[in-house]
Amino acid sequence: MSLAQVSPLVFWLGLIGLASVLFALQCLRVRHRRIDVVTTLFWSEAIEESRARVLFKRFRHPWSYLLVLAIAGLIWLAWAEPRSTGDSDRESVLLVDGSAGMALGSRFEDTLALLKRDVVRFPTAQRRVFWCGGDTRLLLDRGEESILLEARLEGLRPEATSRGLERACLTLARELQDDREVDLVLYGDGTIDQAVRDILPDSMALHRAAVPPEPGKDVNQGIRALGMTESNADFEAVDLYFRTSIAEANFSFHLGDQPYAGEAMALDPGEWLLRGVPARGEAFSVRLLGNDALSVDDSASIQLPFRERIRVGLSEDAPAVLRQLVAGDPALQVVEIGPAVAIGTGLEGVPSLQWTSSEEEGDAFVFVVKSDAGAGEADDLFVRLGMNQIDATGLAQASGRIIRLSVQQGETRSVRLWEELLTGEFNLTKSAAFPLFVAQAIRWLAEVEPVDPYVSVGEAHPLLTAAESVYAPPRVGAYRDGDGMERIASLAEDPLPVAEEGTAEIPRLETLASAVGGQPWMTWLILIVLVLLGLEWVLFQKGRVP
Amino acid sequence: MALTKSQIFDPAFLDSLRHLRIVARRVPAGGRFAEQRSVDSGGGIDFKDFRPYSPGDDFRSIDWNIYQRLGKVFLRLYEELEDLPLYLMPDVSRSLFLEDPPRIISCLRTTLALASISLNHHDTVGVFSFSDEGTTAWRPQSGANKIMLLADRLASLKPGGVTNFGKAMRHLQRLNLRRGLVVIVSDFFDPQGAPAVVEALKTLRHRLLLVQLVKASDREPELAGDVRLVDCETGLAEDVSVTQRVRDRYVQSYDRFQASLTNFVRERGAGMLQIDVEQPITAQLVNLFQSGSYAVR
Repeated sequence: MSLAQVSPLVFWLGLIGLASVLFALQCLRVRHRRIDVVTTLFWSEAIEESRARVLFKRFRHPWSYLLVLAIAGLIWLAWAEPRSTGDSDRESVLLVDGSAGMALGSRFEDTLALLKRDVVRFPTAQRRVFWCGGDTRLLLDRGEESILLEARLEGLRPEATSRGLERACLTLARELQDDREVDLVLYGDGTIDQAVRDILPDSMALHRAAVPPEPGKDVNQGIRALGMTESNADFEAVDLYFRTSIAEANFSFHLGDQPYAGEAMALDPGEWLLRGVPARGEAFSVRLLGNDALSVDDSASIQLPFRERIRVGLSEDAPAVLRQLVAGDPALQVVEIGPAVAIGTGLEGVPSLQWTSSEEEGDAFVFVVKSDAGAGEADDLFVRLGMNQIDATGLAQASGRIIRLSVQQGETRSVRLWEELLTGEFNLTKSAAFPLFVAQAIRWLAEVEPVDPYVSVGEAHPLLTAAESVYAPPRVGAYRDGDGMERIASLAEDPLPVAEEGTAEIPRLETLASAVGGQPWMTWLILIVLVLLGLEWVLFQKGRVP
Repeated sequence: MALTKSQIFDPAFLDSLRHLRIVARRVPAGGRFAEQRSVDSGGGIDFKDFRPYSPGDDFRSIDWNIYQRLGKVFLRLYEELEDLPLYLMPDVSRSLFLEDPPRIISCLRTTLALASISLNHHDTVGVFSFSDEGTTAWRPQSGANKIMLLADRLASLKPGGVTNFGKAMRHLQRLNLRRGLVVIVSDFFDPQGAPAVVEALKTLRHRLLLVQLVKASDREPELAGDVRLVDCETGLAEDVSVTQRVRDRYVQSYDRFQASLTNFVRERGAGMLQIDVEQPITAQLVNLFQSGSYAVR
């Protein structure tokens, strides 16, 4: 049996309190009703006899006290709503939506109030409560008293994240290892995509606790996306792109701690472009001016990369075609001293782009990666350097040799290729892929990482490796990725729940009994109370109780 | 509470009692001529006995037939008819004035009824009301025409104090009345209990008839819950939580009280009549007078 309204501890404390109060009332001095009688002769004898047998002087009616205590106790028990445990294998998991959308109005407070009222109605041994914000956190485990929830909810606020309920459902689905029936009861308005629901096992049933809808919840205006691209004009700057939920908007920008003066250009309604923001490794933030119901999506931040032109050292024997490409690349700066990348041979310990005779080198392209490089780096090079766009068949036919690519390990990075490929004898230098190859090779050698074009909440980082992509930034703000680099996640999704188009509505939790599964005893308890009241009336009429 | 004559005097009620009579087996000698057989021999018409002649006897009583047969002189003796003194003792303590209807009405109507019966048969009637002490309300006298005066006197009786049988009986004893029939009309609720009542009654030299004024609620009171019972005579209060156990003990106590009275009556050879004050009195009085008369032993 479990109690729906109060915890067992509170129930027993209440029962003891009731017994104490009733005992005190029994011991109180009775206000007698005065009646004048012709004689008290016989009454004196009657109570003289009874006084001699009373153990406790002022506690005069123990059976009456027990009867009243039974009635009061049963009423108290009925109020506590005892329920049979029902299906002991069925578990109820209460998910509290801590997504940003819950910050609207008093929705979060209303939801917590509903949760606190409901949680005591679930059998303690078969319910858990999870916080579903940026991460999924256990608030109340099986067997823990409901009274602990109050303290654990203290200080919790909606976080700048979305789809917390979905992540929790997926986590629980992975955790579920047996066929145990689970009722997921959602407290909040977060949506569960149909794709996520399809993943959930059949033993999981979704319910949504009824929360009164917040009036006017669609008046929110906010930034929906924030991304960046490398600037075409300036290697040391980036272009920022952002999208808003409204067509017309005013913004303020900050670069690092300082305001940044820039004029955003409207591309399409609600889409904006800010060109030429200096990429100095600082955080850039954009704020939507104006007040609305939800402030958490009125600003977004992104971490800009640190960019400065790559110092390149050109050897004197460098082919003219390479000289032309270096001169035309705005990201490169030819220096005599201290180059970051050497084009040609002669500089020890400096990453270099070299050419060798085909007689000396068996492979047409040789990439030397650092000995501590991961296996994925070599795989990515093929695409990153545009090798997939080189006409290798044509080169093989022209040279009459097999065109092969190899990856080696060394102290410093380097790229070697046949010098014959740099002459006009072959069509490599004339192909559209050659400038891309040279530019990307120099950037790879200088260890310049591509710009993160887009960082969004709840999605994998687009440039992380497959192994690292399991990590998704949970909330807006600074975080470190798999490489230990600090990044800033911007709010890039609609934090507000959207209409569940094309998906079935999650059924409302009309009655707790449907989730708890137990049977209420209240009807029987009330009947017993009525019987006891009838018994008391009969005993009173017979003079058995006062 | 002031009584009125109309409350106790009902001509029709008294008229219905005319055929009733209080008859004593023998009344003590020394009374007035009346209708009761006396222990004296005298000038009545009913033959009683013979006795030898003594000088000074009335010659008219000599039975000459016996003298002819036996040669000895005997006198014929006839029964002497005298009156039966009836001493009525109505209880006027506060307890008789309490309830609704108050017991005092039944008490005085019974007193008046018995007085009327006796006066109609030329007996002497005296009324001695009592509460915490005895009072001579109506000195012993006879005469059927005095019933109205007696009714007035009874109606003028005031509520007394605490019932005290001891003092009341001592008062009657001090009057040194001719032996007769004492009728005590009371609820007999003496605060000192049944033993005090019995001891007081034992001191009486008269024949005795107890008329107890009762109600059904005397034995089974309609009380429940926590009550403070205040004795209307003594003012003593008892806080009682009326439970079935207490109620049972009350009944036992009441029954013991009744048993004390009835045992005394049986041992004394006295009479006892219970009058339910909530019922008509006439029928209850008639029960006392079997075949129209109440025989005083």
